[in-house]
Amino acid sequence: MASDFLRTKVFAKAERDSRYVQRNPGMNPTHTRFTREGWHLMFILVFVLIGAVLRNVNLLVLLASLIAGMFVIQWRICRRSLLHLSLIRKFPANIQAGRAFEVRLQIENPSQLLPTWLICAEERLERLEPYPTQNAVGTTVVVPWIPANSKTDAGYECSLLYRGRYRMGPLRVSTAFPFGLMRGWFLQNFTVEILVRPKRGQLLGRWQSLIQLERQGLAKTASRAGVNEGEFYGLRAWQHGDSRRWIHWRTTARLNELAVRQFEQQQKMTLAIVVDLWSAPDSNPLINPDPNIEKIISFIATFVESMCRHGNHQISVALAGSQLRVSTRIQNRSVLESVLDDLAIIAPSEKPDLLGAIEQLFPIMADSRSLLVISNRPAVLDPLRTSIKGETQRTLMDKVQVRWINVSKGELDPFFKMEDS
Amino acid sequence: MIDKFRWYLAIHFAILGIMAAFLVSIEEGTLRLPMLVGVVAITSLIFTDRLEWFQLHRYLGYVGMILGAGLALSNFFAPTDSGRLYSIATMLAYAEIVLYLQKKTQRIFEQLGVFILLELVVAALLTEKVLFGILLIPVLAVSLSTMILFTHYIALATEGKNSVKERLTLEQLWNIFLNRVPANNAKQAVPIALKPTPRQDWSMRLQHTAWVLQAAPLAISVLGFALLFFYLLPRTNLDTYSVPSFSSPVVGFTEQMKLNQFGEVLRSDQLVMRVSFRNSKTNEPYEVQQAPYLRAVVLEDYTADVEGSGVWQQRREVSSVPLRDLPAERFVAPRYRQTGDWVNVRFALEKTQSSSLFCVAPTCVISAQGFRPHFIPEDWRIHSQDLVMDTTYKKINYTIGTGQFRNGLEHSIIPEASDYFSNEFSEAIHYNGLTSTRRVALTRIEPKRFPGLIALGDRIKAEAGNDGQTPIGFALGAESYFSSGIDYQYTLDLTQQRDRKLDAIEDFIVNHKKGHCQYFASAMAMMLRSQKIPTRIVIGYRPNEYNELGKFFTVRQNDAHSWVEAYFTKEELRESKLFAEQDTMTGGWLRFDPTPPGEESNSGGILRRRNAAPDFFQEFWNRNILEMNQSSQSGSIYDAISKSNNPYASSIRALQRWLNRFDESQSDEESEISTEWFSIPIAAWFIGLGSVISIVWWFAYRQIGKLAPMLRPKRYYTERLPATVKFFERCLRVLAKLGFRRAEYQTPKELTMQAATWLSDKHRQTQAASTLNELTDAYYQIRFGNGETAKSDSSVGLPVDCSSNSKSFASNLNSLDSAVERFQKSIKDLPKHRT
Repeated sequence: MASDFLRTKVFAKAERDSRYVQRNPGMNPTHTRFTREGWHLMFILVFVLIGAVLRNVNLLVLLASLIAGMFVIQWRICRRSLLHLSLIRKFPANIQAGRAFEVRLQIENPSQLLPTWLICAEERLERLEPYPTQNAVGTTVVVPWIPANSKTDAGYECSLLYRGRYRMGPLRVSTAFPFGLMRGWFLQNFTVEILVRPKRGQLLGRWQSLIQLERQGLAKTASRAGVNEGEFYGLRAWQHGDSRRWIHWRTTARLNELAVRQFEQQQKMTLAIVVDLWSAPDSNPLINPDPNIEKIISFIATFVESMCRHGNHQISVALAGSQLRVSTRIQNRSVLESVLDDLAIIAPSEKPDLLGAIEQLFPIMADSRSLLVISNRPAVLDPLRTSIKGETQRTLMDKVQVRWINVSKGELDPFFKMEDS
Repeated sequence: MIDKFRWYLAIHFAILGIMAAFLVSIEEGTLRLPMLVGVVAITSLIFTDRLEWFQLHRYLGYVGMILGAGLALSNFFAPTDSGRLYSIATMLAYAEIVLYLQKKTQRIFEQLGVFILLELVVAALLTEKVLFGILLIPVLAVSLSTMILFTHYIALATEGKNSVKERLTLEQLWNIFLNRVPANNAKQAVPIALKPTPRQDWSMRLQHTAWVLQAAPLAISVLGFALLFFYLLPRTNLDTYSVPSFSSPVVGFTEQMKLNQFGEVLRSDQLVMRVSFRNSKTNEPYEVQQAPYLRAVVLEDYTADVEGSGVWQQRREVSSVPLRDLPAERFVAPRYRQTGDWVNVRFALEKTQSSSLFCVAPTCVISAQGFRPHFIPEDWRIHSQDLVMDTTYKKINYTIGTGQFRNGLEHSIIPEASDYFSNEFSEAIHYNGLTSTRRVALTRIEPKRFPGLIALGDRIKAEAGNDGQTPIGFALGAESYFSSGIDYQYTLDLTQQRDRKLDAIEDFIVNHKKGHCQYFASAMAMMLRSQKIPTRIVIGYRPNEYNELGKFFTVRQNDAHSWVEAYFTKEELRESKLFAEQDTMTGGWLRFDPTPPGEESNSGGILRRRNAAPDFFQEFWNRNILEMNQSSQSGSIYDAISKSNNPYASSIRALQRWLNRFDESQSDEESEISTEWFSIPIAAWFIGLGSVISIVWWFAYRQIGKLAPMLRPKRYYTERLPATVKFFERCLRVLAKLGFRRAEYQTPKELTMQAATWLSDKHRQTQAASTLNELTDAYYQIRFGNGETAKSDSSVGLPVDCSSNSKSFASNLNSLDSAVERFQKSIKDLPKHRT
């Protein structure tokens, strides 16, 4: 009942604000409340006024009038300053964990006559995924002065240590100018959710051997491209994310389906990677996040980005954690961004769906005949093999070379190093 | 940056502390306290705030405050209320001193502000000087500047602080209530670091001291509001607070006066009162041509003490006529109201130790604040029993009326009270004039004590010839003789050795021949008594300092004067042929002033007109601020309500009576209790006035954007849709009634397509669907521009080009409006869409 009551009150206030905005577009529903200094002065004012009126002490009435005048002037300037103020928040599109980025606030004062002073914009940031936090973090940005009919910029530098989905806002804009007796404020109710992508690391010199090993199971008929990069190599079916400039129209017309040119050949690889994000049953990632999980995710992000830069490799990644996310043939920017977004919010699970991940990657494994599993636990493939449905898939699974990298044993260390935050 | 703000704040608080201490010390007259606070404040600015050589620890500060409080309160048991208030102010100042010596933080600044404000409150209770009001303006300006700076300081201190905002769930609140600690209570650190980008305009604010300039217009606004609030606040008392003195007052007269005592009085220039004269008909200042005689005490009995020095005192026998309230103007006999100039004389007395009041006889009461003036009909003495009971030495204000002036000159004959007031009043007071008993008392003289005086009187009478044979002639001759200054000179120097074997008056007549006004008056009084003329001495003031700015007389102690009043019968007055009113009187008292005029003498009567601004401002301050009470507001907006006979008005009076219960000295005998609390006319008036004000406000507020576009703020992001697409708003309202409301993710086109699909598929309203689509296209063209909308064979007759720059834009709008109406009619009977 208490929570219902609170929710009703909060809802009622939000409802009132929303009705106010509908009736008065362009105006902010401003609230005011006393500050500590205001409460002190109000107490003295009441005390003085009562004494003055009862004993007819005119000088005390005069003093009380002056104090009351301060309150009235404070209240009006507070409300008027904030009434038409508007803010826009700007931040970069790609945010990476561990790297500072700047959030810009553009504040506009459309009033023709009245400047505004000491505008405090209180930002609030909290993480929603993968591990939602109970506490939000806030900071205050203060703009000392905004002239009439002008805009000004303010900002703050933000460093997010962990990846995830964060909610920014709502923005609380307030001012206590001029006397600090009251603080007027309003909520700028645009909240934004930002995805903070995983930290990148550095692929160490031996990372090529990781991929070369993968090629041991490949067919050796993979042809090599010419010396020059960028030469026309061949055609393939159009995939989501391909540039329209690559479309080979003659072939498309002939085949009646889109075909694109391939320009690079080099050492084309087809690689299937399963990311096994496992958490122990008694672990509490909210309090003790597993560094190995983060290392895995950072590695995958770095690896995929690096592979995609070359553009010729077909990397397919299946993320088995709290959810199963599969991205096949990561070759262009949009798919890469999608993978990075998935990596930003994926969380470990006590029972990651490894089997489902492998099953989704069977078409890829049919070409590459290899599978790379990055995990933070020892290999658990044998029970999986028996669970595979379908005779063909089981046969394929028997023929595929599986490499299991146990990060908790340090098996990834020769190939990857995390960035120092 | 924040250190700079702190430094400026420290300077501001130092200035404020010194000013507050100075305001406290105005009435006391010494600069001990402001100097002490000043020295400590400046020292702390240098050594505590700037150099940081010495900073008192917080707990040591508390100890210091306790010690300072003890030191100040040791003087709390002072004999006067002002002394006690001053000790409280001193305690506050000592606490400030301790705070100055501590490191300045937000908490210290807040505490300093509170203490300084409390000191101002005490100062308001301690002084009545206009200097307080004058200094209040710079104090206000500095205070506002301090508060603005403090707001900046707090904002700068808050900037950049990462605050962790804990969201308490109800379960956690319940656990806290039950004092239960949950198992997993570890606070989660949010690995986020936020740091504001440094700004340049903070230093700009400091450099240009912008906040100081902001304080001036804000101070004017606050002052304007304060004055409005001050005058609009309804007062419920007639009495106002009077600041208690630091010492007993020394102004006023006692009921007996020794001859040598009067000289001491004449040496003091302490302010006694301010007296203003106004024409009662026009209320304009009345131009008095000579210094007026302001009567205070009437002394009739003269006795000599052992040393031979005379003592004048009020008559000893019990008066046969009891004290009466000084009557109001309506009781004055018409012949006295019609002759001469009827003048209202306002007296504003400083604190006095005597219950005797001042007047210009003959007189009646016009108004008196907080007391009832009484008068003694035999000698026109005015005083108040209420003042006798009150020992707090308050300031007194009252106004009397008199017809004693003619063309600015004060008439010298004072009629008897029995002649002055109407017959029924005179009969009620049982006074019919001078009785034989009193006549004997007023002519009493011991001839053996005054041989020289009597001989002088005989000589004056002989030299006056026939004119000196009548009593009035003799009296005028004696006045002329003494006031000539030939044989007797005026002096305040009484250091000469006196012959103690002689009476002081005899000694003055025979030996010294020099003295002040009381000697001259005493000598003439005795001389007239030796000729059997009833005579008495009157002591009062005769001010000659006239303030041209404020149109009032400033009366000081050294304006004290003594003169003679002698009684003459109706026949004696007629015989002299000098006075016109004798036919209407039974007798009258004639005023004589035997003191020779001179530089130190108050007898000349020549006015010194001055533009004494300090005195004017003090009087202005007294009348408009200090003495604001219920009667002062009687001419204001409350007048109509309070004087109305309407029952609604009587409810306000009933409320005032309820408030007056706090002060039991107030009693309202003339009030009537009304049971009716509501009045239809008054209520209708207020409702009508309120409605008019609301309509005017709404009109001005809404229309001001059109009348003065410059004042209307620009709204970039949430501007209303332009009026040109109102037809589409109507269209959306029609769809809303049908059950189609635009969701957040939907564009207008998606909504109308959804509705059109529903209309055509479900209800076969293809025409309506088509209209809807065309209206949407028209909206898009108007809103976003470009392109044609309807096909040239529009089924609903919509224009092809709906862009706002088309020539037929206005008529196109009309056709769009009509189309909306048709659309509305066509779907009128359809059931509501349910999702």
